[in-house]
Amino acid sequence: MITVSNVSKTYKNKNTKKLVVDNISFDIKQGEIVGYIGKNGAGKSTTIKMLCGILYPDKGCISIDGISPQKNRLKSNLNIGVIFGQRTQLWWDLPLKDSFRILKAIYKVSDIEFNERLEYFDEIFQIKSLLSATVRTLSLGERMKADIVASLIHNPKVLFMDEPTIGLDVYSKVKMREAIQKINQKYNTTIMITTHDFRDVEELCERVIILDKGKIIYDNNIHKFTKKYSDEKKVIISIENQIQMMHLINSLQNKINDIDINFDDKNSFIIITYKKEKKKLMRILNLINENGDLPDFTVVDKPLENMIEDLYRMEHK
Amino acid sequence: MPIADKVRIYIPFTIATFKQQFLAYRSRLIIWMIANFITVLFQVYLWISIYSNYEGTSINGYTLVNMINYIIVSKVIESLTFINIEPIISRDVNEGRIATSLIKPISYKTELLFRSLGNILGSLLLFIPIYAAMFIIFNWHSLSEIKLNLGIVLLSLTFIIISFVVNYLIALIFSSVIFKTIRHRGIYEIKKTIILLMSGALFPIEFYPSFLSKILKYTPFIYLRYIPVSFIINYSLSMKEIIEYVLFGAFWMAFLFFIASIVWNKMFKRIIVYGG
Repeated sequence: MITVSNVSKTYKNKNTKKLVVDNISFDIKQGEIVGYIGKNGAGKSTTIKMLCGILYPDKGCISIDGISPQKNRLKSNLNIGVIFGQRTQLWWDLPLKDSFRILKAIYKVSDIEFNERLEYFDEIFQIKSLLSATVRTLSLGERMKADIVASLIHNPKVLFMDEPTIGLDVYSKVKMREAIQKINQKYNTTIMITTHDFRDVEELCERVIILDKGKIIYDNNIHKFTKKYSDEKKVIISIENQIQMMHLINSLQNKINDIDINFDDKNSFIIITYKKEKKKLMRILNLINENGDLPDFTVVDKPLENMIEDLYRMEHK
Repeated sequence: MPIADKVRIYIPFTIATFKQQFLAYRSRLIIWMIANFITVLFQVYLWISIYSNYEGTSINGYTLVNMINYIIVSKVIESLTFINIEPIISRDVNEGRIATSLIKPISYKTELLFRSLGNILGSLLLFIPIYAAMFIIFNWHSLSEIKLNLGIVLLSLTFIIISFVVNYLIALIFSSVIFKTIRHRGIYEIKKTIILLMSGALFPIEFYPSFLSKILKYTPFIYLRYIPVSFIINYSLSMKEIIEYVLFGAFWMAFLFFIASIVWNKMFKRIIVYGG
């Protein structure tokens, strides 16, 4: 559905040249949800803009459903929906329904299709209750929902989401992810998401493309990625009894090597960090069990964010 | 029909802009209307005092009533052909909002055209009654002499359309520069001044030194005001001149369209959307 081959882009100013995207290539199949992540300035938004035909690459070519967005922007954009999390495509001073009416005309959506999609988005977003409100008066979460509906009203084959959850509270983020998943399942929309919130990627994407300084440094399945980089795990144990706690820490330090122990005796919990190894977790838990009844414990994976940090570090060695 | 199809796509922009003026910018619109009205009144009284201190009844072939009509009709044409795309482009480029226009399968300059039509509709609703009232008051004694027939109406419309198209194309050429400067103020003021002085917006070009008015006849600017106004107030145009002006008007439209396409496309290509 999306093919990018050997694309480079340099921003030129009077005195400075800045290579923002450096010879990247990837293919995205129909119906995939791909996370496109990287630090600020890694070239994510630039890539999205080139995919929409707003920017011209210096080298390489792009095709979306067989059409080049640069050579044929108007035709290519019929297949594309875009959400820029930080700006809106809605008419600020008008009721929301007026923005939808404009989009309906632009994409020549028939009344039947329009109403059907509105019904559907009403189910997941309760969008109908917002239709008469002036866009200016919507909350950020409501506006984001409205923007998503706006970018999907023509049922595009491809949806680019540039930080769709930016600024949303935790609850709205969860709702938003659910909605994205539902839309992907119902319409088989190919979705590309750039985000700084790694939960978005963990929960939505099978595949991640990680970008650093304009280069792709990882492009593969997200589970493979976590497997490779989540070499550390943490066990968090809560123990009320202080004497028991000290005793446990002592025996852990003596009997198991290569572990890191942090404890907090005020809030009575211990954090044990260990390298992933065969049976290590079992040995730790057995030891805890020998010291009395097995208390409450949680095993935590290394956060994706830290894994990406590690990946960057490896890249720059 | 492809044109009807196109219009159907862009008409909602006109409606939205029209609504926007009354929903969001109502007070601005009313202040603008009052300011405009005062300017016209001032111009009218200026000419009344000039004529009352003058021996004859006509200056350069214009009687006082001719002059007042010229001012009023000039203002009407201004409202009818009002194009204000420079601040829109400047804001869109500066805030990066232009990206949200460009991701749609529509042409940005056509979008601007239809948004302008919405502005025109809005100003018509407010201005036309005032100017109509002024016209009737100043022409009270000669109202019965005004002849209207289909030919005059159609030709008036033709000249107004020429004026609108020329105005739009000139605006496109000037606003191409905004993609580079981002700020529109300077460009906009230069354009406004040139048009004000060269189109005969304030008074007929017969009042300029004769060499200047001869030169102006070979520029597109007089098609903005002087020609449509002269024709509508039914003054000093022969059949031969009318045909000439229509043909030259058509020529200027084609020529400016050519220039505007080149300049606009060239500047449009080099835009880099800000942010990100």
